[in-house]
Amino acid sequence: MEQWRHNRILLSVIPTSHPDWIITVTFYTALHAVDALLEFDGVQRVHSHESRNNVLNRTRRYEKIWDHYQPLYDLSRRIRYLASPRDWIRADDIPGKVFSRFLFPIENSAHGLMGLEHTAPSIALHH
Amino acid sequence: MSNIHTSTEDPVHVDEGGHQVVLHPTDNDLFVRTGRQVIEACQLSIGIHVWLEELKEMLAFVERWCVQREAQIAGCVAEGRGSKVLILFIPRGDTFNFDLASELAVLNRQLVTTFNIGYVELGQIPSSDLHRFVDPEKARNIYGQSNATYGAVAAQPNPFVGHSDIPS
Repeated sequence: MEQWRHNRILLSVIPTSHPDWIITVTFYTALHAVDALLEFDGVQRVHSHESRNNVLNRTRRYEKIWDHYQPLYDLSRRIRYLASPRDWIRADDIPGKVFSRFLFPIENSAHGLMGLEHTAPSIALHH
Repeated sequence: MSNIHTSTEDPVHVDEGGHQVVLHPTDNDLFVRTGRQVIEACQLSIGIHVWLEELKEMLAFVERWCVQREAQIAGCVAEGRGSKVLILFIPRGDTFNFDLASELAVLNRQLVTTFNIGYVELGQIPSSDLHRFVDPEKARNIYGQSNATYGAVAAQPNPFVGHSDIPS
């Protein structure tokens, strides 16, 4: 959970001129929320993206999380290597289409499945 | 137990439990290697012949899925990479398609629960960057006009859709 908070704070610091790195940190914020849940559930041997994806993709309990996590995984996996990441994702789309559509539902689901109240502050991007 | 004999020129002869399967290296050898790695890594308990049949059916399924979404998808390629199958979709337009992304998550779950194929990774990329993510010599075109759509990337036709040396 500490890593989740740690990464989340960084999201407000990265300039919007670097959407590729905002996406990357967004993904790792989600990943740490997921890992906290997997640890809570006693899931073992999740030591790589592939093993984590397999657990999320094949477990009914995590179905909602997977539906939001997979697009974020894909986006973060490719955007760092694109010639023009700012064309692939516009910074203006990140709050409404990346945070609201992918990150927040993952956090809500993970915290809900752990029986925690989700009390994360909103994220204001650094323009 | 399967035995696979390969050379750089000759077809691959797969002896799978008495079934003789001939695969042409230029079309299939990468997938044969990937299949063997997947079977071992994921402990699938199936032979390479069955794995290739699963792959063929899965890629045909993906092609049909793309056809149904032709308004969103310009192209699709697949590549065997290590112990996984990577399938990349090229959306129409130059930006990440959020609706398509959500559909791909559902498709990914469908593929791994329907086909005994091991780890499958799906993603979308812009057509102009395809060469950064797949090897043009190894990628297989699943859907779309490869040469026209992908520019310099000469993705090969999908050998598993429409014709195959693998007996059905």
